[in-house]
Amino acid sequence: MPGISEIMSLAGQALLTQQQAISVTSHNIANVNTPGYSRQQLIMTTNTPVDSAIGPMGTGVDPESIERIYDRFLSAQINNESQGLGRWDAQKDAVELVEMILNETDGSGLSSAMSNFWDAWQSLASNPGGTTERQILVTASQVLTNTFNQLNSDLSQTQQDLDLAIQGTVADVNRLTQQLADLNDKIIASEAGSLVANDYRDQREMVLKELAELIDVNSFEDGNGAVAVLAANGRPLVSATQFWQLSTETNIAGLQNVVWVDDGGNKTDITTDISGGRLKGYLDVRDGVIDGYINRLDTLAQQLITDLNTLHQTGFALDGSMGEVFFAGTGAGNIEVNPNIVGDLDLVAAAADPLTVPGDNRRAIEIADLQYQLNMGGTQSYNDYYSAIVRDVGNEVLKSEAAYNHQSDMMAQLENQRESVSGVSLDEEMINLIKFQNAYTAAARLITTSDEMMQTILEMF
Amino acid sequence: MRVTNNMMTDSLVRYLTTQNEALYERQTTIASQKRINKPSDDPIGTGKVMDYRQTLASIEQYQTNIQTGKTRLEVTEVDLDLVDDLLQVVRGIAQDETSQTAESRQLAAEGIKDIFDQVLDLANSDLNGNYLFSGYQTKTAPFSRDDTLATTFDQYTVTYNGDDGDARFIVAHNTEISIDADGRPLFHDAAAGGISVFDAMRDLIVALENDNAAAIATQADLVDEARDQINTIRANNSPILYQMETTENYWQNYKPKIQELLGRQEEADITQAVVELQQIELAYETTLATAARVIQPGLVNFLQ
Repeated sequence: MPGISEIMSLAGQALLTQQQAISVTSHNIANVNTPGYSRQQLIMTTNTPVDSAIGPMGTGVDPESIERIYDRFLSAQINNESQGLGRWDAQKDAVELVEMILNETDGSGLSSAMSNFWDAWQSLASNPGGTTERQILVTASQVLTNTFNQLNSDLSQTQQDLDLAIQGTVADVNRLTQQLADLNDKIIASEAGSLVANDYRDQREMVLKELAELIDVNSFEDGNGAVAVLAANGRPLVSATQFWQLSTETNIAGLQNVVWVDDGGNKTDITTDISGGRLKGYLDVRDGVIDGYINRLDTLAQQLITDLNTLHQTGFALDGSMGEVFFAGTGAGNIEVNPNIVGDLDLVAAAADPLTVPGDNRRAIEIADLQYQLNMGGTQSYNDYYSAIVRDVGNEVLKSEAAYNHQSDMMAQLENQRESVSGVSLDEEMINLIKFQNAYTAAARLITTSDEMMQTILEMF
Repeated sequence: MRVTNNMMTDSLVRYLTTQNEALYERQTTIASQKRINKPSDDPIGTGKVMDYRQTLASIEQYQTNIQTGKTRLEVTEVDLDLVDDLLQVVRGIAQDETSQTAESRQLAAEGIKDIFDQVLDLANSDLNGNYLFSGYQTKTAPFSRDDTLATTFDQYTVTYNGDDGDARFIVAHNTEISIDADGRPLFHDAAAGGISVFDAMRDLIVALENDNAAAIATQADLVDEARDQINTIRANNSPILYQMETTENYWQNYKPKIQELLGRQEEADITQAVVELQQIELAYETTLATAARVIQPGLVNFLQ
């Protein structure tokens, strides 16, 4: 049967335990707004009882461990959805840039430049010998070619900007994988002997989630508590305390490809293996979306160059000479009005016969008629073809926004669930605080009581 | 469900963001008065808007072309009307002179020489620097005579410097209206079996100078035939003018329809936008009020 001194030491242990509980509570309160923090709880159990004549007798409380309240499944879900969120967020932002470039809704842009161009040919047809009409035509043509050039360079510029974003993201991935390796190291060290490094684990969750937003990750925990991370079709990024770097290399198109660097410093191109995260979003827009639009603009410019030149070269200039090419260049990037024509307006070939200048407008009429001919693949006029591009940009933005919104709702839902499980509730903590404080006060009271009991016994003598 | 402080604040932030977005969208709609401000607002609609705009630009161009064509026809008509008047005068003089003295005929010959030059000027008239009756050779005066030659006959012999081109105007998709710009059928068609106005007048002048009554009478009739020739072409021009006016009317009726379609596609329904704005405002303010009530208190506030 325990003596008074045992009561004293039991009370001492209780005092310490409640103090620890208050300490855990204050840690929770302090971290109420820390992102990724999981609330912690002091796990208390009863001490090993001692045998006594009346059966096993309790010997007080034992602070067993500090546990974090956490749902492993939710965490995996969040990492999974983060990949989608990062991807669509990046894609949405990038295609919105493209939409800004190809925004035709205010009535300016390539569509109106084309309209003005065809109208100028009609004006020329109405007065084929007129210098003013020729000047207007050449100016309208220059506006058209400049618009083509501008669109092409704006789209290419967006690709370059995305390249910078890709390089920045790769640098972030490298920083995060290094952090993960560091945290693995700390967790392995602090968890020696079945302890749990709660705060480091929270931090690692956060880093892992951040990484998942950037690239598709596949992660699992090994027996030592270290997390291993694979990305882009199984390439290891982190294993225990080791990490592998990603890097970028210029490809034949002059854009940056993402490469994975192995232990020997050998680089493997993983650009097409990346299947999630911001990198996927950036790469898709850069190589799929924008590249597609650049090609389609090129097709349009090429067809226009070919059709215009074919007719113009069979026409005749004011001096009766055979028509030169009207447009020089090979695509949207370098289309320009033949500099000779810009220098000498008389070279615009509106006539169909060298002897019928200046009043002959037959070639000019044929050229003006191109406007509504279905010269783009036999099914679309130039304007139809271009408005299909603009329409597709709009649809692409809608698609990305819808995917992003869906992903973001899903994420909010998951975060909410995570918060519901792991988040700190101040009310709860206040209640706990009072609870533990009361217990602490009572334990202190135990000490005074046992002290008084001791005094009583001593006074017996 | 266990609800924590952060869940409350996070969801408030999320809803406020959504409502702010919606407010912003309605604001843009109302400020721009446009339903479509970027292609993603309505991709199909954007395509239609671009189509309508192109159609409108084309219609405006067709209208300009038709206007130019009409002006040309009208100027031609005024021109030929004057020529007709002048030829009538010539014919009157000629008929008169069949029974006049040699001196009177000399004087009349001088008078007709002036009229000859006036008709020549009219045949050489231009519109904005383009000769009306020289075919494709719009920068070349169609008719000329050489004053330096020896005889009256040679001096008043006119050569045609133009060709058989016509002026064509685009009035609709792939549709052109042609106006014959060849001056010969009007003024100088002897080679093709018609009458040359200038030759008829020249021969009249020579007949007057030569005091040849019979020739004067012959030429008076020829001048009359020349008038008929011109008036026939004038009559042929009026269906062309009619065709142009019909096409112009067509575009005038068609244009507002396209404008209406464009408007319907592009313009915002402001009433609807304002109603929506008010609804969202209400939701926004309610959320704010809720926020003010919900996030402040906690157990902390009640512990003394």
